[in-house]
This record gives sequence, C-alpha cells and structure tokens, in this order.
Amino acid sequence: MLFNSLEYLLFFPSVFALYWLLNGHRSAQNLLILLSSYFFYGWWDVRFLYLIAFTTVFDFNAAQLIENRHVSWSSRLKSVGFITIAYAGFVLPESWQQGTWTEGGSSGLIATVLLSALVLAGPRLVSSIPERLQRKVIVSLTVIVNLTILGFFKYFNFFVDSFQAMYLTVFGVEPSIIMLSIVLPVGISFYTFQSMSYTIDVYRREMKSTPSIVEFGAYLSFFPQLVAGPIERGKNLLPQFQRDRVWNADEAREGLWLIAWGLFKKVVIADNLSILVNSVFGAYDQGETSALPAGGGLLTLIAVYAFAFQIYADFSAYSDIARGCAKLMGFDLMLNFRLPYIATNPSDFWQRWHVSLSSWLRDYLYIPLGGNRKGKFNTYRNLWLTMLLGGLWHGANWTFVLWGFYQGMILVLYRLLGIDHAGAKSTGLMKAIHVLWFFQLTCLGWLIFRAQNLDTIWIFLASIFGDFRGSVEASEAGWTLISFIWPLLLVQALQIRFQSFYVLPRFHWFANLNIWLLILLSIGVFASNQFRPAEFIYFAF
Amino acid sequence: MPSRLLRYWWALPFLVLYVLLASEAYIRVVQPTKIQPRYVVGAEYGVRMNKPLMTYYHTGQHYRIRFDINSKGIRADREIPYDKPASTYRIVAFGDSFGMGYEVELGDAWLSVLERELNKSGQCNVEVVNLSVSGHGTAEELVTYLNEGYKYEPDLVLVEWHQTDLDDNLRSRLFALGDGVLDKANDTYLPPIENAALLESPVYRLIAENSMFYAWARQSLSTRVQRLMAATANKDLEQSQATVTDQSARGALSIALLDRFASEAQQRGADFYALDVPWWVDRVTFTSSFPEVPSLATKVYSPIEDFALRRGEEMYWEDGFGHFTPLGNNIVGLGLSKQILPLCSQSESAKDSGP
Repeated sequence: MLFNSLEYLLFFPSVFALYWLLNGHRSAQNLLILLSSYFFYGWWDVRFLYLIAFTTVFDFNAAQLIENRHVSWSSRLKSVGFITIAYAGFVLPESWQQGTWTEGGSSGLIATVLLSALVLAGPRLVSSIPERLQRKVIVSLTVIVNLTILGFFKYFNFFVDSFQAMYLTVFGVEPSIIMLSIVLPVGISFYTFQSMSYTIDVYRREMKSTPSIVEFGAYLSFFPQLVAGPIERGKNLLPQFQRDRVWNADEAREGLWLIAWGLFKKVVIADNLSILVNSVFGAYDQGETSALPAGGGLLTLIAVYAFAFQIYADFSAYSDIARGCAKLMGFDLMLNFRLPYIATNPSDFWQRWHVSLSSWLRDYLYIPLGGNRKGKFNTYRNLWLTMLLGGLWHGANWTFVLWGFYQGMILVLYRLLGIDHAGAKSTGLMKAIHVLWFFQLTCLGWLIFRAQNLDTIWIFLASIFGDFRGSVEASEAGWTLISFIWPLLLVQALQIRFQSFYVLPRFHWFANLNIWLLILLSIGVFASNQFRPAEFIYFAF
Repeated sequence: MPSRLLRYWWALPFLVLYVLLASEAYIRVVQPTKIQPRYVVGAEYGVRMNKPLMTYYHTGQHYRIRFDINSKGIRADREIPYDKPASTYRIVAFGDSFGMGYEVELGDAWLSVLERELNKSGQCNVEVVNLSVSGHGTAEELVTYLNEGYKYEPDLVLVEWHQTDLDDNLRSRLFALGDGVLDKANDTYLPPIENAALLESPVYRLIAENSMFYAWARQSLSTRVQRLMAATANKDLEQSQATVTDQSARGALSIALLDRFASEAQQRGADFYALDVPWWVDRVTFTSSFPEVPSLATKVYSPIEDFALRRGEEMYWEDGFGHFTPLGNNIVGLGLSKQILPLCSQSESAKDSGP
C-alpha cells in the first residue's frame, strides 16, 4: 500500500480512529498495530509476510536467549503459534491456489518446522554451549540467519549473474547454473537491519529484550516505517511500545504537517522531476545506445541535478510521512534527513542524509571494524568497506557498488587532504562555496546511483565534459527544474532561518491557512493528474 | 482552545468563502480547467438522458459553446416529433460526448455535417435525430434505442463507438454475458447524477458554469470513481468468464452489445452503421479500438485514413478535452456521408423523395 494512494487514505484514518478508541489498553493497541501493519504489507504481497514473521519469531527468541532470560513454555508456544499461523495464513493459500504443492509451500513448511523446533528446544540447546560462548554464538547465529535471508532474496541472482559473466570472460564458455526467479520483498533491507540492531543491542547490553512477541512484532512491522524506514533502533522505538501513549495535540499538528509536506514533496516535486529525469536517462536504461544525449551536456547536467532533488524529495517524503503518521499515533521516529544539500564535506553529508542507515552502518559495521581507533590505514579501509557495503545495501547492481566505492573514496580523500571538516566553521560566501562544491560531488555520486549500467555513467560524463552546450530542451528542462524545486528551497531556507524543522508555528494563523491551502490544493491537483500513484524510489531497496 | 474557537463561530462562513475563492484562484493559475457543465437526469427507462429544455454554455480558453436541449433531451435547435415526415430518410444517432458535438457549435458537429452533406447530394432527404448523451456507452445507447430511439422510426441506426465504451459497458452492469449469451442484468444505471431540482438552482448553475475549481473537482472525482467502477466490473466479469480465452472479457461484452444493437435495428426494419472514433496518440498516429464484430465488418466507418491524408492538422482539441475540432468533425461528417449515401439513396424513403 502506498502512502500516496487512495487505499492508504482510507486505511490510515480507520486505524487511527480504532487505535485511539483503544486508548488506555496498551496491549490491544500493540496488537492492532501488528495486525494493521501486516494488512498494510500484505496489500502488496501476502506471501512475504511470512518472511517478516520468521524474522520476528527468530530474533524475538534469540534476544531472550542472549540475555539469558528464562523463556517460559507459554512464551515458546506463542512463538510456535505465531509462525504456524503465518505459514497457514500467508504461504499455504498461495500453494493451494495453484493446484499443486509449490516450492514456496515446501520451503515454508521446512522453515516453520525447523524454527518451531529451534524455539522449543532453544534454551536446552543453548545450555549445551559453554557459558562464556553462549551469547556470542547466538548473536552470530542471528546475524548469519538475517543476512542469509537478505542475501538470498536480494543478491542471489546478482552474484550468480556476475559469476556467470566472469566465468564466460575467463573461460570463454557459459557455465550452466540455475537462475531462480526471486521477487525482491519490499522493505526487506529495512526491517532486517532493524531486527539485527535489536539483537545486537541486547547482546551489547544496551537494552533489555522484550518478553512480548506482540510488542516485538509490532516494533518490527510498524507500518509507517516498515517498507522504507527510517531504520529504527530497538532502544529508541521498542520502549515506546512498552509505555502508554498519550494524545498530544501539538505532536499531532506537527504529524499532520509532516504528512502533508511529505505528500507535497512526493506528488508535486519528486514525481514531476522524475518525468524530466527519465526523459534523459530513460533512453540509456536498457543499455541499447551509446550515443551522447541529443540535448547536449547542459541538459545532461540538469537531468543529474533534477535527479538529486527527485531522490531527496522522494525519500525524505517517505520519511516525513512515516514520522507524521507515527506522531499521530503517539510515537516518535528518528529524523532521517537534516538538510543534506547544505553539507560542506562528506562526513557532514552522512550526518544529514539517510541518517538512520548511516548511523546504523557506523554503529554496527564501522565501529566494530575498528573505526578510527587503529591507525590511518585501518581507518581508511574501514571507511571504504563501510561505504561499499552501504552501496550494496541499496541493491544488487554494480552501479550501487561503484557508488559506495565513490562515497568511500571522497571520505578518504577529504581525510587524506586534511579537509574532512572543510567548511564546517566557515560562514557567508566561503560556506556557500563549500556547499556548492560539495553539491557537485554529491551529484556525481547521484549520476552513478541513477545509471542502470556502467556505460551510462561514461556516456553522461562525456556529454557533460565533452559536449557542453545549451539547447532548447536544456532551457525547458532548466525552467522545469526551477519551477518544481523552489518550494523545497524556500521551506529549507525557512528551516535554516528558524533553526527548526517545524516552521509553521512561527507564522500567523492566516499565513498558516494559506500555506495549508496551497499544499493541499497542490497535492490534489498533481495527484489527480497521475493515472496511478507512483512508487517511492526506496521501495526498490 | 475549542471554546476560544467557538467564540468566533460567526467567522466560519467568511472562512469557508475565503477558502473557496482562494481555491478558485489557485486552479485558475496552476491548472486552468475547461468549464463543461453536464446536465443529465435519469430517464424513465432507467438510463441517463440530457435534461430537457436547458440552455447552457461550455467555456474553454478559445471558445464559448452554446448548448440548446429540446423537450426530448436532444441537442438541437428545434423540436423533433416522433412521427417521421413523409419522404424523409431518418437517421437516429447514438453516442457520447463526441456524438453530442462537445467543444464545437451545433452546426459544426459531425452529425450536422453528415445531414447537410447527404441533403446536398440531392439523392435523399435526410433528417438526423441525435440521441447522444455525454458519458453513454453502447449499453446505455442500446437501452435508449429500445425505449426511445425506435419511436422516431429510423431508417438507419447510427452508433458512435469510442474506446471508453469498453469500460462504460462494463461499468453500467446493464447487460452481462452468461455462457456467451447477452442477458439483461439490471434495469437501471444512473451513476451519481445531480438531483433535477439542483440542476435548476441558480446557485448551482452559477457555480457549475463559472467555477474552474468546481469543474476540476468534479472531473477529478468522476474520473477516479469511473476507474474504480470499471476495474471492479472488469474483475467480476473476468472471474465469471473463465471460458473467454481469445479476447478480454470486456471486449466480448462490447461485441455482444454491438451485435445485439444491429439485430434489434434490423428487426425493426432499420439499417445499422457504426462510426469508430479513433484513439488519438499524436497528430499523425491514430488507433482503432473498434472490436471485431463479424456481422458489422462492412458497416463501420473509421476516419483514420481520412485523418492521415491531413497529416499534422489538429483533429482533436489538444488543449481541451480531446474531442474533435471543427476540422475533425468536418472530415468525419464528410467521410461518413460517403458511406451512408448509397444506403440512403437506395432506401424506399429516398425513392419517395424523388430527385
């Protein structure tokens, strides 16, 4: 279900009303969140709910074992019931609908039986491991299982395909390897990372595990942020499920604004810029042409700039709507974007862009690798490795790997040159120069990110640096870009001016009325011009 | 806080008025919308008809078109009795907004051109009775013919086909295919239409004929609702038509409707002819969506070839609702007259008329 769809317009108010009717009954509210989140996700594809249920049961039990908490038989049976219901509800109907016993049906059955056995016998099995190793073994197992599921669904074909290509290049023959038709489950990268952060935090004794599978299930599948983040941390979000929610009118007002502004960014800015971006990139997406873009280098450059704003508007829109919906339900999700395009250096950028992922990578990858504690060489290696894996997290494509490599490279270069805090303390013109320069570097990264193949990157670079000229198309594209990004720039200027992301309270009620009118009418007009709501870019990751 | 707000209750009407005026201004600047009020009511035979005795205007950037609807719900500048005048070849036409001549003056509409051209030929004395209603599909047209159209004693039944009919026919749920046989499924199809009294209210007419915001909101809403209804009906039909394998279920329903229409006309002694309004891609690319109806293979006129001869000229309003321009109407009317002239000149009615 998309936030910008009619279905969600009916879904959310219904859940919201029911949720506050249950106010004072925390367990019932959590159960409602769990059920509505599964409904929300199942609207896209019911089968993959089983994967979420599997991760939920596995990590829920693993965390308790890591903490050495006594897991009662009643709790274990609840877990077995949870996964059995998930199998019966989400996998079985699909298997029987097709008339034959499908591979999914068999694999699901095996997984259900194995997981149930593991849950029931878990405490016994753990007791057979030497005590000093118990916690380490369990947390390693959860990391391996989570990454295996993620790797299989997201990267299996990518690695097989790459291996085939390499084999063909080296030996001149194509190896016979079975390719599986695997559908990428929406949001798998987000909820897998969220689940891993929980077990690791419990392992690090930074938080307590929860004894309630409903609580953990609701935390992991919380619908506002389930499919595209922010990637929450157990220690931030889970305690919010463990205390009573209190209606707060100010928070609700801010939540409504976040939803409206998010929808505006998605429907008005991102979806319209995507037309411009696709008109230039689209011809190269299938890799069928090597001709330079006919509109000249300026048009190519404008398309890259447009993509920079498209992806920002699109992704931050999702985060804003997620945070807004959560606020209306009494939750506070982490801030995912902090005006990333005013960053003056790469470190600054990663503290502003997709903060929930970059901080995840910092806390669970960069720092465990040694961070900056083991000398310069190791620091650079760790930075590069973290960014490479961050790139690969986005998808199974070499362009994402290259993007990660590029991000690692500029992080390392800035450090090598001793300018890793460049522009941080500058003001006025100098600050503007730093911001503009770093924006160019960011856009080069976005060119790599948007290109569907490596050839496109070289063609576009050749167009920008070797065929830089104006054209009628370039001038039209320029005006289109300006006409859609000015509201974004204006709001960001106000956010900087007022040092607050929520600027509405600073204005008179009459100005507020007009801002709301403008926003809502724009959403209405541009949404009605679309044949169907467009997906968010980060759904693909 | 609420009690403080309640003290300002008297400001509410002003606030509402301000919001409406600001919305109107926004739409006029950002999304200028053509104002195209549609006055349709439910006919006693269960489908929509034009509200009789109405005069109203459609306003676009470059035109202001007057619509006069006579006492029988026909866009015409005169009353038309059921009884056919002697020595007259009568064509009764059914269609949607293309048939009604949206976005052009009555005299420029293709049915007016057709009537004029046939009469100019000197081979027949023709009268066209236009029972088109904006939004109609073949199903509603067939019901209109069976209840109202036949009363005009047509010599020729002329049905205008448009791609939207595929969905309109499903959405109406007036007919259904049971084991490949067309059955009447419901007696009425009256999608949300304004109350007749409302249509006469001066305030409503002031808004409907002058407000771009109202026009935009109405169009957006009706488009969404129509898509939803068509999608639901299509799904139901596909589920009930597991045996339809060679073409989509919605195509099968339209084929059956056109076939039934032709046979009903023939049973009453009338010829049958169809106009296939092409789908417009750009000024040189037009596609046909007319379903393959074996019994009508030689009784369909598509203007695609005639449009192709006028490469690059504007056949459909590009900045409007995409109906025919006066040029498009003229080409369709002329082309159709060439097809119908042999039918009309050989008919008994034409022979009565003499040279």
